Amino acid sequence: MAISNSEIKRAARQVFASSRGYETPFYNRDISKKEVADHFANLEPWRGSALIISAPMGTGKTFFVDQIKSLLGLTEGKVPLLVGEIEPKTLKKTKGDFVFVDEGDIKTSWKALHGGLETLGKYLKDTGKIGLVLGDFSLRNPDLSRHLSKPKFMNSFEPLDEKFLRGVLKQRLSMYLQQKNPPEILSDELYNVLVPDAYGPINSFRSVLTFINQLVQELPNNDAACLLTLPMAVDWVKNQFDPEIDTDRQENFLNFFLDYIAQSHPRGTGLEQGISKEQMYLMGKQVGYTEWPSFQEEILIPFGRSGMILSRGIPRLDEEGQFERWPEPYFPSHVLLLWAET
Amino acid sequence: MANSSLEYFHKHQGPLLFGLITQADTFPDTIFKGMVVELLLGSPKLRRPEGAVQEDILLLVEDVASLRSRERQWELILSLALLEPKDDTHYRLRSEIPLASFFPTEKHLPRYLKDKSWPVEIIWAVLFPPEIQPAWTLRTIRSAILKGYGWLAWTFQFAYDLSNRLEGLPAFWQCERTEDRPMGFVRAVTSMGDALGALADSHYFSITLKGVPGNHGPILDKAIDWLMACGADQNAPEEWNDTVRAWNQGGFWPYDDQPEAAFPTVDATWDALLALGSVYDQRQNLQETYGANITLWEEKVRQAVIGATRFLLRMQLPGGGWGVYRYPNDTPPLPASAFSTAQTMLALHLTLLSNVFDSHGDDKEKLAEIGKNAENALRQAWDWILKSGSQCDGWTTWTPFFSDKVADVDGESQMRAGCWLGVGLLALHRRFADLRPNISPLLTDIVARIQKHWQVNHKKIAPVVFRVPMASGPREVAAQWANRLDVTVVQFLLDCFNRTKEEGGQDISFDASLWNRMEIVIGNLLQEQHPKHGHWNEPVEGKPLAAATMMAIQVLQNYLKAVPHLISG
Repeated sequence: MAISNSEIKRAARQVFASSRGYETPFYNRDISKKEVADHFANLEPWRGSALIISAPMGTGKTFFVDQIKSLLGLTEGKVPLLVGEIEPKTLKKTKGDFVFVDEGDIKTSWKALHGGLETLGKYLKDTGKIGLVLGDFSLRNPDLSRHLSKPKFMNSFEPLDEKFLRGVLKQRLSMYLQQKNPPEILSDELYNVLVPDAYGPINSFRSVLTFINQLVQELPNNDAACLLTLPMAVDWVKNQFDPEIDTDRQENFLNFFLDYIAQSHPRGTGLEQGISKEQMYLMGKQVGYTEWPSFQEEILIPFGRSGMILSRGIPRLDEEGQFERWPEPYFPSHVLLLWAET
Repeated sequence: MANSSLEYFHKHQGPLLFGLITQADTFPDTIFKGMVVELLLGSPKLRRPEGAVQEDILLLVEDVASLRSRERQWELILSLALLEPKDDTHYRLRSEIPLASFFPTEKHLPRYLKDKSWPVEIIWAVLFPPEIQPAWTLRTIRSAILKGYGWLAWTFQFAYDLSNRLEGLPAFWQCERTEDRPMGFVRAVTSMGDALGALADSHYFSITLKGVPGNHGPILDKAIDWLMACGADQNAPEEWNDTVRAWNQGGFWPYDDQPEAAFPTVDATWDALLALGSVYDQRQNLQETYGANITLWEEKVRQAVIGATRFLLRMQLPGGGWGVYRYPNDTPPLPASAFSTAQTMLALHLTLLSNVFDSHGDDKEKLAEIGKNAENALRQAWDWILKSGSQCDGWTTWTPFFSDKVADVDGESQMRAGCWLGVGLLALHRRFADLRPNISPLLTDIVARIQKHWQVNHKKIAPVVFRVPMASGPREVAAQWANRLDVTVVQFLLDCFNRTKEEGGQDISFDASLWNRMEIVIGNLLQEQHPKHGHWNEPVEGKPLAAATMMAIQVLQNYLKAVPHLISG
């Protein structure tokens, strides 16, 4: 049975929820759960060490851990410490076998990441407690992870690919609209652009669901069958998305980049390796950048910060001693992929 | 001249300050600077003597930075004149800012302002004044209560008008300018239970329905019908065999409150029991005042109340508490929680007070036995609460899940558990005069802990965590409901104050600072209510919610009840 526009609009809050404010069903992540259960079947080898879950922001790490607290013996109300705020006195207050730490990511300064993980590592060693550390790819940087004694990385954090997104939406539509076999509400083309196969682990749950919700808000409130299509998404981006460009060169670069995507990587195709720093800079040169630092300052950092380009590299300190938070390879966000549609 | 100019200056300090501070070439930069002012002034890091480095300051503002380069952001931040270098790498907030900092030369400033400075605290106060509590009166409180009831009644009317598409009230509503709209289609037992229970007890059902004569009765009949339709007996899955049916008989499905439950839950059932008990008690009034057709549902409601009571008795865990569910033979076991235990105690106590168990023809002996069992269950719950308390800082204390150790749980969680259990203890206080001497010291301990540790914070939540029962065992995924911590605390305190005044026993008084804090919460509640619609919101999502509205109404009503005691005291 079709789902009407008015029905999906009314149930949008539940179906596209991506915050902890609403109890959404937990989909899949069976392999991740099994891995955690296997790891901690015996706590002894873990004493003094840590398990690191390292995946980009918005991919569901905190939600995942929130949901498996029983496996870890964490009390229900336990909230994580934040890497940037770790101090010996806060660590001393932690109870139980595990120390649960979040936000080991680029939202924290390099110095605070270093300091926080160093303090944590010492505390775990001294007490024999076990760290559960969540963060983005920064945690894969050996300069940071070395502070923890023999840390292990979680191998199997399932990426948000097309199959996963279809499954999530089907489960939620079935639950919230009470249809045993709900029809698709996204066209195949739109799925391809929202979660391109080539992007793997960097597709963000939060940004994709938020985007779909925005599209749904534009639907007319009527009984027509709901189907969100690629042209609708393109139309939304072209009419509603405003990146607040700061300089003319940024605008020129953006136009150049959009043309490049349209010609070379329409809908994210062929981007398995991403776009290298050199390729990006070559495009920058085409619009008048003559020095790498100014290109980095005006394009790479602001575009990365605003989520218009995604990065799959491991954040690190660059030659100048600056925290490089969005290192190569780069990927245009789904908003840019849609914008590049002709 | 100088004096009047100074007066002029002080009078227009706010807009002048904002204009000077945020002056920028472009519209987006002005907006950016305005947001940065708030972030810088609000940053604890920048108020520390050691200050913060540039990287930290840029991280602080990056969510509002759009595509500006770091260099550009830094230029705009420094142009605000709010920061001063502490050394080569660190910056901190200036303690005061000379007006001259904003002008290229002294010539741009009137002479009488040349040496003038603004202390940063004054800038903070002028630009971001603290929220002022409205002066409220008992009349304001009464009006807020009426508006709250009005909203609850309106939700039923709205759903009634759409009853070809809705099977009851959803959990949440979307607040829109003209009115609210239901979110989702899935019914939620708490919305219906909380709204119906509050309205049945209140005599306020007709508030918003006055212009619709003859409609009250059918709407009430429908609301009761909707809630009854959440009973497990009517909606048992086909695959259940007789044993499973018998075990779950009389329970209620939570639906959207605990969406993945495979069995009726204790929480859904005590909520429905509270509402249906009130409906049954008030049935004559509902018929006479509103024209409800009690012949349609009187007997069904009575049977539902009896069934729900028996379900809750079956769900009592061997120790004496209640969790979200109990599997047959406790396989797998589920832990008892302070919240479910206390609310179940309250529901059983109020049901015993109602006339459901009064002599009723052939049922007489059976009913007497259920009533006796319910009393025994309450006494077992008392033993359990007594046994599960631990000593901490000289007070008896509990944890949200009884199975957790006090040492593993922070003070705020212990306080929260105390408030929840306090509700159950007050039910026992009323029911069992022989237990009062033992209950009063525990209530005193809960109050003492609150007195010492509770700080008013309207944003703080009191999460109720649960794992719904799935077919194979409790769901691995924990979920939570959120109430406001302040409201949870004040609800208990006022109830405690009123009950002990009315029922005697040990006099539990609060000191002035505790009353002050409680009255700030009353002020916050009055401020939070939607001025036109009348609802209160769930604290995390900020959406209109029946449970939040009902809790707010109860708190305000209890405050009104407390006032005469305060005056006479």
